[in-house]
Amino acid sequence: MIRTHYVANTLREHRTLFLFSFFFAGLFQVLILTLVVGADLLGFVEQFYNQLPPQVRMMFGEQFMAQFSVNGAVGFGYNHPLVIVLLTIVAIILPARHIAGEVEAGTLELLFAMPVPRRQIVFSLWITSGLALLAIVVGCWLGTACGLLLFPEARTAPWGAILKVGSSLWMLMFAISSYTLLISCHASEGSRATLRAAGLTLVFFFVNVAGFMWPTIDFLQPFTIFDYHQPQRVMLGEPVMAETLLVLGALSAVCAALALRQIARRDVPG
Amino acid sequence: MTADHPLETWGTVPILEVTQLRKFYGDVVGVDGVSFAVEPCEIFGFLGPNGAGKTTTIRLLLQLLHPDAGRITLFGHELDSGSTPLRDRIGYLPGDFRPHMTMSGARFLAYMSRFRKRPPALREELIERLQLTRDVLDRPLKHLSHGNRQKIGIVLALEHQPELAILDEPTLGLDPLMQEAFYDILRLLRERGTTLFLSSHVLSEVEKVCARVAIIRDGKLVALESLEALKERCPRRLIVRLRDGEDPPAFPGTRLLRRDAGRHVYLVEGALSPVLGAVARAAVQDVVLPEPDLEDVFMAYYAKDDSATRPARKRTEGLT
Repeated sequence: MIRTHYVANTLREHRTLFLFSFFFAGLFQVLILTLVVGADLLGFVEQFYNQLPPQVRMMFGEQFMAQFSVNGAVGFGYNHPLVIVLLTIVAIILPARHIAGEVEAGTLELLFAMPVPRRQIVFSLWITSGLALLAIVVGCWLGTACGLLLFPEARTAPWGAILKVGSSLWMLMFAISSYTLLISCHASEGSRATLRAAGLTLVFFFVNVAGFMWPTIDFLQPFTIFDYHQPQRVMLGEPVMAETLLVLGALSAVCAALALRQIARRDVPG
Repeated sequence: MTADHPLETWGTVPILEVTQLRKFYGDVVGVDGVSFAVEPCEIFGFLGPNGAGKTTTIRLLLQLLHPDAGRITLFGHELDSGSTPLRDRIGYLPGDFRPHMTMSGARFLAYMSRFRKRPPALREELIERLQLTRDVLDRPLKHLSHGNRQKIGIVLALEHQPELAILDEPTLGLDPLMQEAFYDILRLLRERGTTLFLSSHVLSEVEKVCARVAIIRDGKLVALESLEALKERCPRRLIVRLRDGEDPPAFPGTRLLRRDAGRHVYLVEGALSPVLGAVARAAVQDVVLPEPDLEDVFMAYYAKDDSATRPARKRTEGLT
């Protein structure tokens, strides 16, 4: 059961961050489409790309040039480091601040002394994170829609694929939020939970990037969450969404289940 | 008494019963073998200096901590993972009340009370008695004084007229006038059927409102009796003023505790009559035999065995 007033209160508490993220993510999609479709970057970038050493080209990936098509640009907008960092901040802050952070602040003690099962509070927080992240992804979708309205030549991008890349981004961020929730349910300090979750996310990110640069360690890529978010490939029509849904969905569900188990068992220190 | 008065519902069954409760933090004792029962509609005092195990006991009662051993029965139900709904019948004020500081007092009360099924029937009355003005309630909690925040904590703990109120150091930060208003609230709630579990290290406070007290020391319960019975069994003090230059006599069955400004304070450890006889024969100017107060009781328990005397006295430094 979800505590709707808890969800509403948590969303309200972070409304400035959410609104900023919503508009930033949306405007960023418009900007990406403007750069790729509005200005003719393709020739310049292709020339620059061909001059790069093969190892660096490998790091950018085989699909790099493809993103300078309309479909590629849309995919790139859902995988750009700025968008990823912004959503990761939201994904980590909510669970870290509202479990470990509130244990530290002493406010969770009051909440857990109320006649509400702890699991209900944590489950509601998990749903809140999912809703907040979904709202920002909706911002991305709206930005893409605005971009497509502004540039009629870009309307070749299929809406089905655009919805899929948004869903993939949401799944990735929800997975980050879910393992942060699990970390937070074990911790007693908000800053420590935040650092651990951010550290784990960075490890995933760098292992994934390293896998592109050095093929000898690319076997590690499937063990990182970023390997399951491939928006450019989705936009190019490759069937990768099932894997994304399965792996990131399972990771989120398992982390949430373990978090619910942990919160019921743990002591709440004073 | 109304038909739904808790005394009629519960009869003589304790509202709260704790049996052999044990909680360790690693090697450190939280509480060890604590047992007591709280009867319906009583104001039960739980005494001990900082670090004695009061807050650990309270946190175990509220299932914020999980006991290593022992049993807690609340309203006749043994606490387990399915006991959450029982907390609707409990009011809780933590020793260190820390609300959501960005909210206003009014919004915080409205937000928290929505976690309960019971309506906040006493909110307005408590707000009035504690003199919380609309202006104070509408300000963010971070901008309120500690005393005003504590008042909001008291309102939150008692507004739903709980059957059992667990209050940890409730008068912390309240001025003497507000402390009196708070004691009136406790008496009023008791008359209306609320059982009060009052944890404190302020002895005068416990003495003022509690009929029965438990004293906890180093995680173990060392006394559990009515205040009157404790006072009766407590060694009494004898204050003697001597003529100038006189050496303090050694009265039989007493121990000289201290001397200041010509006054000599003895602790009477045996029967009183031989001491009074000896006093009558000595060259004294004045004699006072005060009624024992809770501080005497408390000090007696905290100075009982020599091995523990020094740390125990150190712990009681904060007593008022």
